[in-house]
Amino acid sequence: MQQLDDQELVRGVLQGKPTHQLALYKKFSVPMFRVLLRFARDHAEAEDMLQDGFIRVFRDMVQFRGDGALGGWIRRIMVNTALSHLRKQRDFLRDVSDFTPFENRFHTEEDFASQMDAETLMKTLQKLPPGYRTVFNLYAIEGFSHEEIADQLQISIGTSKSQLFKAREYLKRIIDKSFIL
Amino acid sequence: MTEPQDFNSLDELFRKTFDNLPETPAPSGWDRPSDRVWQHVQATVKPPRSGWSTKAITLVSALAVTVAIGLYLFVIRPVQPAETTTPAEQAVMTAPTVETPVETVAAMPAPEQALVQKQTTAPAIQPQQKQKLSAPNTRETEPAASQRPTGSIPLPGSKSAPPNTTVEYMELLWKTPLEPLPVLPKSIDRLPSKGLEKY
Repeated sequence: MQQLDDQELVRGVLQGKPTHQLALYKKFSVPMFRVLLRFARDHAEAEDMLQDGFIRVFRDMVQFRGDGALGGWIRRIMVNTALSHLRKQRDFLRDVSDFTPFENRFHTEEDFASQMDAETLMKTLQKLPPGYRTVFNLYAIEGFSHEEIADQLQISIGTSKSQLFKAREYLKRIIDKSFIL
Repeated sequence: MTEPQDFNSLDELFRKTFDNLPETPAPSGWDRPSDRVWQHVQATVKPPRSGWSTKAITLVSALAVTVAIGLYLFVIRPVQPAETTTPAEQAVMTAPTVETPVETVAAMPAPEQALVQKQTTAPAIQPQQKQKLSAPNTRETEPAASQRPTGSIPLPGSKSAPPNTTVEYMELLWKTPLEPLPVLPKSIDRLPSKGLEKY
């Protein structure tokens, strides 16, 4: 099947064409799965989020007005789906005082550069407690403000800032420890 | 491949790493979802509608039912059979038979006598025949009536209508010369002239 542009994809999905649904899924499944991997604790949880996210995309495609890029619209749906999943988890924002991060050991700078690739960073991120990981994702990568994070997660702005600070500390410890050792 | 010296902060390290990923998934497959995801999505997403909304289907169904009922009622409605007898015949047939005394008949003029004799010698109408003629049963007469074309031409094999006795009677009376009027009694000629003159 030839590459379809976003408008054709949207039109086909709205008409319920299975070929267009599959084409849209193939085009956006990998980038959206990478987004969701950052919010999930593992591969399986990210797949559950992706499944729910695409069901929402197909269901709510009528609401896509074409003002912005289709990818951006789908990404917002995926992030919201991930947050919905996380909100269902009990105490996902709990303060973890006894958290001991796993250690990647890089003996040289070359070693670090060769191994600290996207997959390793992803696994590092997934090892964080859910609250730290979520706030760090939303603030550092998705570009949310603390007000927006507080609104999305129904927490205070102070809690958002504290969760971000602790997430950074843990990540630094992991990377610094790994690099220094 | 990411260079550690390029990152000013931890946030930038993660952001740049994840934003600059290639479009194709990694060979190791860490960023590729399994096929079961699409299978679940496909099973959940409903197939497209045929274009017929529930409202349209309801309207079309109601219209079809109405047309069907109308056709049914049209087909089974009672069909008026073509009249086989004239009203005059029916009157004759349904009229009570009056026994005309012999003396009265003898006193009648010749045409009337013949007519009276014809009526008395005619076979009496059986009740079944009466019923058939006066009140046709729609169920029984329906096939015959439906087979019969509209018009006055009788079908082959069908019974011809009985002669119109009223018409015959009238023709007979017309052909019969009139009898002279009876002469008035003389007492009528004597009118009280005196009393009338003053008027």
